[in-house]
Amino acid sequence: MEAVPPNSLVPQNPSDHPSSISDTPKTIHDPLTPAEAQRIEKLLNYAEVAMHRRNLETAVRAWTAVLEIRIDHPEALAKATKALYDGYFTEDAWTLMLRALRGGSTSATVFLLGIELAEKIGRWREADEIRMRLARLPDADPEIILKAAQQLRDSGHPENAVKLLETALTRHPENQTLWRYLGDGYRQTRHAKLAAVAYDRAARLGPRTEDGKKAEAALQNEIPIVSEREQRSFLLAFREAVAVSLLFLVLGFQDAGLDFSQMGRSRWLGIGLSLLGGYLLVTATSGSRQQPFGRWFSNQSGEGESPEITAEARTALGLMGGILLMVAFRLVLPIGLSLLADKWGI
Amino acid sequence: MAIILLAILFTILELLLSSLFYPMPFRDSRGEMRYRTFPWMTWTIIILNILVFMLWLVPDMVAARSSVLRSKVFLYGYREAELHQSQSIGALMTFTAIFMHGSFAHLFGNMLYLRVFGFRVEDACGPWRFLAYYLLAGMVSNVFDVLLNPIEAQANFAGIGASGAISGVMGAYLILFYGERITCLWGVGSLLRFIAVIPIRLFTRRRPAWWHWRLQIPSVLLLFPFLIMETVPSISIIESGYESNIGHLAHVMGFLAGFTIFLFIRKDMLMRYLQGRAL
Repeated sequence: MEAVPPNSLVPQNPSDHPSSISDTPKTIHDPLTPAEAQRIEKLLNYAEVAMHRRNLETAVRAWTAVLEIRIDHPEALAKATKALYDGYFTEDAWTLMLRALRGGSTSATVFLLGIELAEKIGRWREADEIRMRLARLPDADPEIILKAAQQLRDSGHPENAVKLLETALTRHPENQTLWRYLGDGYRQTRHAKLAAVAYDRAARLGPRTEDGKKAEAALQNEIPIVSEREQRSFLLAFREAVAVSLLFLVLGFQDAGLDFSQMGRSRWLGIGLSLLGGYLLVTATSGSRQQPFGRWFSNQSGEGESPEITAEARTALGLMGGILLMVAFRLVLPIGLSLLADKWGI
Repeated sequence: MAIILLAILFTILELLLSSLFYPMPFRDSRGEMRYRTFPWMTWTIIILNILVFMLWLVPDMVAARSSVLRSKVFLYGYREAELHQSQSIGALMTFTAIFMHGSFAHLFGNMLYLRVFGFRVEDACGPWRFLAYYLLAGMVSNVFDVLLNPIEAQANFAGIGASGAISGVMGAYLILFYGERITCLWGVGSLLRFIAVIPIRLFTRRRPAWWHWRLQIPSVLLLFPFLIMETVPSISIIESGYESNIGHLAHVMGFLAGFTIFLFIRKDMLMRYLQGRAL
């Protein structure tokens, strides 16, 4: 006979249970012998019939017998804990769950069941512990981790969701959805910089997937890459003009026979013009809010509005820049262009 | 036509054979690339290089008109003498030289590298800035290739090929995307991986595939050794002049031109980079 206290349906010393086949219960990753598999099937059917007849005690015994063979059998554990919880045997349900978790289960489903049960019976600390263990599982399906993180977020614990996702990402660094959810978590907890990094990782892992697009959209809309100050920066626009004039400098240097002393005034003038022309062209094409042109050529007058160069002014600046660059090209390459003209008979 | 097809076939075989010993990149990242726009400038440059070679140089190669071919190379290839003496088309040959190639292998090899590394760099710059950068890197490699070479005026030498400019693109790639992985074909690497897999499969629960033809190599492990391998012969070139028909020095100088990429990349890319965010 089993030692079952009157207020419990679960044998307290399961290894003495007569239905036990193996000495040490197996986990979901250990293969079953054909005899064990057959017995589990029979016990599960038996439990079903018992539940159909509303015989909870017999059903629980059958499920417990299954769990004696495989300590974290998901179906048996799910049904047993649910039936026990519904029958107000919450401590018994928790005992079965603890056995599975302490017995070395690596089944993510079991961990989820554990979290659910722990929360139902108000064991919040244990629920969090199980979540963190779930996140560290090497084979855990990231979908399940996401589900756990979502539960936490929805229940008003975004910090814990972040912790969970951070832990899971050490195991699944290539999972785009986890990175995106981590970005969401950071944003909720007001860590904008970390959110940007997380969204960035997500977008980088695949810009064309749904998660990639969402991460990119979050980056663009909610965490601007270029701040207002940088949009208005003269230096950032000037940087591109320097690139243009560098091109002209190297051209002029070659035209002067690779000798700076032979560059002459006109070539240096051409390089100077290329800097100005390049700046105007950059302002027209990519720096519409940069100052001081933004202020000079803006229609806006209200305070707080960011002055932007009007489209007409940009076209005019672009044309002027283009013309200046052509003049500069003529000035830095006098020999090359005259040789080309001779060759083509122009 | 048959000769051309045969030459192309041999070039592909040659490239595949060389990939047994040296990693041959064929794709940027894992195939899921963060391209905002179609990299049409890189494709335009590739097509232009192919057209110049096939329509302008190959007919002379096939007809064995070596003197015509030689004169084209000497007129439009990069020569210090012509810069000093204001001959040919002067400094404009810096542009013509980087669109000329000496053989199918030269062209295919260069275009392959441009395709692999150019897409991503163009994506970071935008097409027109990328073109400007490409031309600048090509010019810088040409200029320093002759300036640092002690053989005066290179009387019997003309530099052709896009490799200097492409090295610039590779240098920029290394600076901007040092953590990115490049998919490569590499026989020796696959063999080493196979040897490493044996104990993993025997002693752990992990079950990685036995063999992979395609390997994901971090760009820093692919490009930095390239720079070192090109720098070693470049030193002897600086000391005693050219000894081979490969422009090692041009490659190194083009690669170093990669540092100017910060002038060319888009504002948002620059801010991302400075903030330590992925590009």
